[in-house]
Amino acid sequence: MMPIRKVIMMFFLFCFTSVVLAEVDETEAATQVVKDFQSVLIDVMQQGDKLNFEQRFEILKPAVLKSHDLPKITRIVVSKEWQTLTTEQKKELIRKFSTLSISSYAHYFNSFSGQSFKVESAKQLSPGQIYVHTFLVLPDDKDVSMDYLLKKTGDEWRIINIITNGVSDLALKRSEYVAVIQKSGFDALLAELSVKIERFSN
Amino acid sequence: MIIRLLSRLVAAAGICILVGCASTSEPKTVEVINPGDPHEKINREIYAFNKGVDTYVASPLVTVYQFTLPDFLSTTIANFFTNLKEPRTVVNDALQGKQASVGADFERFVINSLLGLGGLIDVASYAEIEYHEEDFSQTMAVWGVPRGDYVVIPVLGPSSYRGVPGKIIDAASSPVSYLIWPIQILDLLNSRSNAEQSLNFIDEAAVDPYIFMRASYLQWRDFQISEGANAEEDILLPELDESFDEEDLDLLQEDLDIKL
Repeated sequence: MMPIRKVIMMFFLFCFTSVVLAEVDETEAATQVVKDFQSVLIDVMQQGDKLNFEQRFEILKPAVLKSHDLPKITRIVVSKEWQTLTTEQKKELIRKFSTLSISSYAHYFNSFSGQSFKVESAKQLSPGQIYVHTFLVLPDDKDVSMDYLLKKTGDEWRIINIITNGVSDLALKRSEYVAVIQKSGFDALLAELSVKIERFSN
Repeated sequence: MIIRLLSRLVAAAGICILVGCASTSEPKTVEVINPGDPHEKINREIYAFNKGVDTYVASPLVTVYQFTLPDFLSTTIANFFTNLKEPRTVVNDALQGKQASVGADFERFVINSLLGLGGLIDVASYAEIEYHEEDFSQTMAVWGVPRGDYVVIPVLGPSSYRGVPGKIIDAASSPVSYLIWPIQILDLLNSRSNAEQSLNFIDEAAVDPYIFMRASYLQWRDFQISEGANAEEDILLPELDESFDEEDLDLLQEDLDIKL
């Protein structure tokens, strides 16, 4: 018969291995979300000269909506001001912010000159958050550090923040949007977002 | 000489800040001071002044500079001035105790100065010796000097209490400060030309350009100082763990029709 100590040790070993394997699976799933999104970006860039802004927007829309948790990002970028908004205002803000996010991708990722993405590492920061460290490799310039923070929404991992060379997009937008709402009100913020969308599309 | 000009500008900025502090110490009207940026009012005024200088002076000059110089020549000029920053980087590497970087950056400087015709050609990059920058403000941060408040310096742009003496020492230790004025002007044009993309990005993407500049500058400096180690910590905003109420959850699950 197997000694009891050995059985206990095997039990703990099994539990530990299961936890580690589960973590590895989650990390791989989150990394795949980033890789899939980046491959769409590269694809759109490669077709850059054949596509106009609207076409890039339509290609990127499903990819951004699938990989990013835009409603949650919208809620975070207005911080405590969210509680002061009506349901209609919240919906309008999510719509406008989502359109702006997709528009900015369509505006900036519009041409290809040999760029590529490289996943450097990924790790679980807490049970619901995974950090994926990547680089945008530029052929004639220094690589740009582009990191993604993903959160689990239901069974899926979604991007919630992008950190470019140490600058957090979420923190940046939150500083701006909260200041605009506090200074000039919700409508002023919506108007500013509309101006940006218009500018990106021209 | 540019160092004299810089010193005067920094002194003027210091006076402006002191005036700003003095005026806020005797409140005549109730004014909300942002604890994250106590000099926001005067900073915004200097930011607007800098924006004007850039729009009406620097930007037109840079447009002419970029239009008249062929690409290879502007790259050569950029290489030359980048190479002149290497001694500063090497000294600050040493002051921060980064032994490996001292060697690599010194090697870069020697290779580019000797084989790259005085730094005109970036031979070291072909040899995959990566360029990186260190300045005295970063060194002070590594030594534990706190950053202090955010300030905008006339003409020079965003900085901090720690950044002001850093800029003075960097200017004093830069070989460019001791060269003839046309070369100093060329350095300024080259620097402004290199910043073109970033400035355009701010114009395009920022909802409030002042706040955009402040937030991105402070985060980017922290990233440089910590060699990227801060990135994982800084993104963990407290809001990420806030729970959503029932109405929010319904809203988040709703299929919103997103159109241009």
